[in-house]
Amino acid sequence: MLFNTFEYLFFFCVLLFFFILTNRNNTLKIRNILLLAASYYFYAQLHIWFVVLLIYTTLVNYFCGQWIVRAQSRGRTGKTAVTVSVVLSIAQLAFFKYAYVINPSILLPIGLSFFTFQALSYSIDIYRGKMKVEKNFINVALFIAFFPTLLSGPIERARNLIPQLKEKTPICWDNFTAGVGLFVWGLFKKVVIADRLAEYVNAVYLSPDSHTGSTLALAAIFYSFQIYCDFSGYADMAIGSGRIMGFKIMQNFNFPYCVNTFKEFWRRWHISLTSWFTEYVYISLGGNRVSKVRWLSNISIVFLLSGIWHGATWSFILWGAIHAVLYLGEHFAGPKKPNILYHLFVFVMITFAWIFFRIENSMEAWYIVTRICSDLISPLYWGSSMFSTLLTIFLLGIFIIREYLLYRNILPQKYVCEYILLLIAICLFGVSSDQFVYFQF
Amino acid sequence: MRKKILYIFLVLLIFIGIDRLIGTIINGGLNRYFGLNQHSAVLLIGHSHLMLAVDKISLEQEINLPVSKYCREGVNVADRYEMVKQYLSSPYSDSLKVVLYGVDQFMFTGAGLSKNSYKLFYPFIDEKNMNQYIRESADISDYWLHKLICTTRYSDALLNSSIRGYRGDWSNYKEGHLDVDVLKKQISKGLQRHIHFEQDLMDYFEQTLALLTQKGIKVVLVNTPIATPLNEYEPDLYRRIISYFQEKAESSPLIYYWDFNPRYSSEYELFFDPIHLNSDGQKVINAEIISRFNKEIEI
Repeated sequence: MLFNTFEYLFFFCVLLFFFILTNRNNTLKIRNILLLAASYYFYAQLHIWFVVLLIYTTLVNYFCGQWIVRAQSRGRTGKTAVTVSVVLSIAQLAFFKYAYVINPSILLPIGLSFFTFQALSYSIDIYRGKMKVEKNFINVALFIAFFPTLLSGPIERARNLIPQLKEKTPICWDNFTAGVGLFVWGLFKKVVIADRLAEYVNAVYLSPDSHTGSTLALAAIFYSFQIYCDFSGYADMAIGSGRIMGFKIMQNFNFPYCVNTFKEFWRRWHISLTSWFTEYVYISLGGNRVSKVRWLSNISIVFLLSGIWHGATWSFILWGAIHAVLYLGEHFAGPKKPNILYHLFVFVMITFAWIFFRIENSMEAWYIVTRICSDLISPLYWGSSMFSTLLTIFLLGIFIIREYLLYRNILPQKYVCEYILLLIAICLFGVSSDQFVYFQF
Repeated sequence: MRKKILYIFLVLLIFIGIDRLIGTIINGGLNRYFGLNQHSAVLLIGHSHLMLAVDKISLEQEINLPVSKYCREGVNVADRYEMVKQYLSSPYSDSLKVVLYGVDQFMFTGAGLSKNSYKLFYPFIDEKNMNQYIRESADISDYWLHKLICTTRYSDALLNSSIRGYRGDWSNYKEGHLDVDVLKKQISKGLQRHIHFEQDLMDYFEQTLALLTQKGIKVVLVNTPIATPLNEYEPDLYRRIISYFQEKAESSPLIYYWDFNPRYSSEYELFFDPIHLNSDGQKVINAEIISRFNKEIEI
């Protein structure tokens, strides 16, 4: 069940009705059981066996959490327990993710990377003493399976979501309008921008060698916006769904293309994953309180792991490595006061990096980069229809303007007419798709 | 609470109002583009093949009759039957004398043309015939989505057609030429469509002819050129289907068959791709149609 379907709308409305009925201090247990059942049902719609993996992850992290606390109460660190939790969780992830590469007939469970990392935040936070162990199994299971964040994040932290699950959430008009607004904006980004851009990008990347440099450049720019709108659109719909029910889910994107530096980009892109790696990997490695060489290695490790997290192909590792080089290059040789030209440079380099992310064959990706550089002034392919491509560029322009106005805080965010127009645009220009780019991770 | 419910109701009302207004405007353009809002003596029915071969404006001027060009990309024979019924059931059909109906050797081949082509008719879902056709073809959620929300009914191609309808623009913008070597390579790899005789599609064709001739409307089966390598790909089947069209023409004084393949299918500079003509090709074939129309068709 996907957010951009009527099945989801129906599912959510029915669930919301019962959620409101049970969202009382004396019926919280019933409410959470209802939410858990709904979350499992939501996931089972993709494949019934996926739920088994979800339950496995829940059991591992729930019992390891108890084990950590027991060990710590006996004066031990609980390191063995947290290691078991990490190894057992990552083993499942590694098996499906990398076995899929060796044998594509093995089904890759959608959202596995997301809920595994979300679950690990529970065990690691208990080990680090950042949160108390949760005795109620339903709450832990619901935290890991919470349907808005299940398939594509944001990767929530246990210390943020579990306390909300233990309380009556504020269902109010403000949350309702903010949630609906966010959902509509996310849906617009997904079906009007990302899916339209995908049509051109897929057509060009199907046979890159038969296209000119200008066409490949346009496809690369389109892909930069496609992946952003696809992923952030999903995140907005997830956060919006949660907000309607009164839950505050962490932000995942914060205008990443509006920034001037690579460092700033990584503070604003896939925030939940970046902050996860920062908190649980980078800081564990010593962070920046180490020698320069160690710091360089820590940064590189985090970027490479970030690449590997997306999949076991050289293209993802290369993508991580490119970003590590850009990040470190900027740190040592970047401008002190970045100007508009540097901003453009940052965007261009990020766009080049996305080519390696999108194209599985790194040699082919490199061919595209060289073709763009050597053949930029060349005839442009207009896609299956020039009208469609021009319309897509026009809609992308509107999106960029709105995004910039929001970034600058110029646009009044609760203007109802704007959302009516967004809905009309979704109906009129939306393209239906059953794929989200980040589902494959 | 009551205020909030009223507020939601008002927002819904505004949405519905804007949605209906946009739907009416777009349909206005589409009706102009397809000529569904005019009393025409000549109706063109076909897919992109015929669409790119005929210049509506010059045809109207040269034969001195109003023409409706109801050609849609990707429509199969069943869809064309519905298109004919749609025009005949409209209040504008009383003046109809001739239908130019696009035919080719692939028209009874189900594969290749979309099975979801009923979606092309969503803009006309409010018309009785089309409503019935879509209801039978679409799944229930799709049907009600498009029935209730007008703005979901239009693809980019339809939006473009609507704008062209308001601009009065029926031009063929296809430039460029067919690369015959590429086509031959594709054929050698077996990548081309095959000629089939699917009975259900043949039945729809027969029904269309019967529907029109029973009303005394002349039907011209127009076979606009297709590049020679495609015509020679399956020679026996090709001859069989051409004979079928000729037999149809001989079976009734109201049916004609015009085949432009023998004369033009090897003039590759007229083609945009193996089955579509470019703007030069349109000028040539359009002139041929005008010439034969003035010679052979008496109104």
